[in-house]
Amino acid sequence: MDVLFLVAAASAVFCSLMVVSRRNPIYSAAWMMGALASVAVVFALLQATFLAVIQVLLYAGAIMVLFLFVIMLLNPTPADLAREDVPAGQRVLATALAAVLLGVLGWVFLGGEPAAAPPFADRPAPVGFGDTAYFGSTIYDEYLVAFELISLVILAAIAAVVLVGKRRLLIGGIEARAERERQLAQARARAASGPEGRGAERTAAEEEPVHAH
Amino acid sequence: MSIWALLVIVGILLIVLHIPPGMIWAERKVAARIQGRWGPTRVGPFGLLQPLADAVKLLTKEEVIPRGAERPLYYMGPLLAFVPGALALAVVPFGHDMRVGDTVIQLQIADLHVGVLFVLALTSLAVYGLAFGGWSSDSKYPLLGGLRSSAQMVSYEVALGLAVVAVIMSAGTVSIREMVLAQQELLFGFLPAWNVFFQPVAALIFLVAAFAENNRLPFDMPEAEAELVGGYHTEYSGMKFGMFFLGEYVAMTVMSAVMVSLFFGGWGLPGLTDPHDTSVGNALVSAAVFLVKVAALLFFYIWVRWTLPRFRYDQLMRLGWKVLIPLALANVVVTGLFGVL
Repeated sequence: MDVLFLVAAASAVFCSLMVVSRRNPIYSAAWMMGALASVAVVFALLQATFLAVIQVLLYAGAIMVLFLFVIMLLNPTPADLAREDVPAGQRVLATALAAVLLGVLGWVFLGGEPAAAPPFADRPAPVGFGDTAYFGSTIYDEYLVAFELISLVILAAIAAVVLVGKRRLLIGGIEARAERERQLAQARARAASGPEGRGAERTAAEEEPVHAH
Repeated sequence: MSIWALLVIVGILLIVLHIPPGMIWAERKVAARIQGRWGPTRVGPFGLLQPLADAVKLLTKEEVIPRGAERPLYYMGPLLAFVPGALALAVVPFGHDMRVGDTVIQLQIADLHVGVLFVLALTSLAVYGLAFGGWSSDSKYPLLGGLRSSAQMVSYEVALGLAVVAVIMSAGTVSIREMVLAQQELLFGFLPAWNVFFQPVAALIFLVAAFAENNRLPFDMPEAEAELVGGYHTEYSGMKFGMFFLGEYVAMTVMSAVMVSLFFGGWGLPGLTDPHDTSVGNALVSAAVFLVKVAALLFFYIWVRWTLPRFRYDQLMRLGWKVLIPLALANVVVTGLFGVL
């Protein structure tokens, strides 16, 4: 078990480093899959089988595919990728913050006295821990309200995204329709005032592109 | 691990690796029948050795790799199209338990208690093979094919998953083994208690979504010949192309096996198999029943491919998002109501 954990953890760390250090986002996405799979293995080793499978199903199988879709849709050229548009000082700041984080984590893990027994040794995992039924009853019995509240928050976020994303389309559509109606009204007015034969002809010619919309 | 478990793994692997060649032959023969032709007749009796000839051709063909290809991903594509799908078969029960001496052998590689979710997770990874393969070829048709595949497979996965949710709700378990065992009784004394009779809507949605997940006609948009030359595998040749081919057939086999297990009683057929009997004979009969059912569904795949025209891409998306997903959601709600009542 420990060997498997070490392999999975090392692989997760290595893959994550590759994610942030690749210049081409497609490769970042590929390494990200590796990182997600490694974490899934860690979950499985912790008896959290359901989480492990959901990790693969949702993150690797759905969310990363969407990332990939966007990257492929934009399909950056080598010239795009070679461009340096990092704000000045960002690298220095990022390195400093990473060093602080590493220092804090190191202090927490290495600084204290080693515990006599592993924490939670007196509280073994409940029967069935980590499988689907246990997970379901935890969410839908014990933490039902919290779970539903989170669902609401996510729903609100989705609605907001749709509104932000589609606002231009919405307003643009309304303006376009107003413009079409204005043109149509002008054409009708001209047809009514102009000489009979020519007016009718011109109206037909003018109305055609309007209908084509 | 006992020697028996190892034998089961090897046996299942052998069966699964022999399905694609059989499928290649069947696809050629059935297509020919549907189009009023003979199909392969010259290589072996009834052209049965045609897949072998195909394999030799693929293996000996020159490999052409586009100059601008992104090599690492280009090599990974065919592998990713094949491996995850094949792994998903690990949780499908191929037959009833059999007792040899004192040991009970399960004709299943692993009875995970996440069962069907494991299948969904692994089949959802097959899209990477297509997407990476399409992107790394440095060519516009594969890129479009890869793009389409990622959008299409993510879309239909939702419907597929929701169809499975309804089955899980009515079966009360996620273990495929338990689902199959629960379908072994009779309804009203004559009808097998298969989930397809309890969950007809889910079965239909699963079937349609499975076609889309496997990129088979009428949903083979990622490789639509008429529009995209060959789609994601346009720039592949030789055995790398062969791996995509193999991956497609293995994925179809997995989907058929899962569908048989979820909706059509798995290895059981009332009158032929006995769920209370763990003799070797009964187990072998049940395995044969299972394989016949899978073969029937695979035949259905071929039948549909040569009968229906291809959907347009927007029609595909409309069907997925505006018909199948709402229908699957409604089905889940109705199943829930029945569960409460």
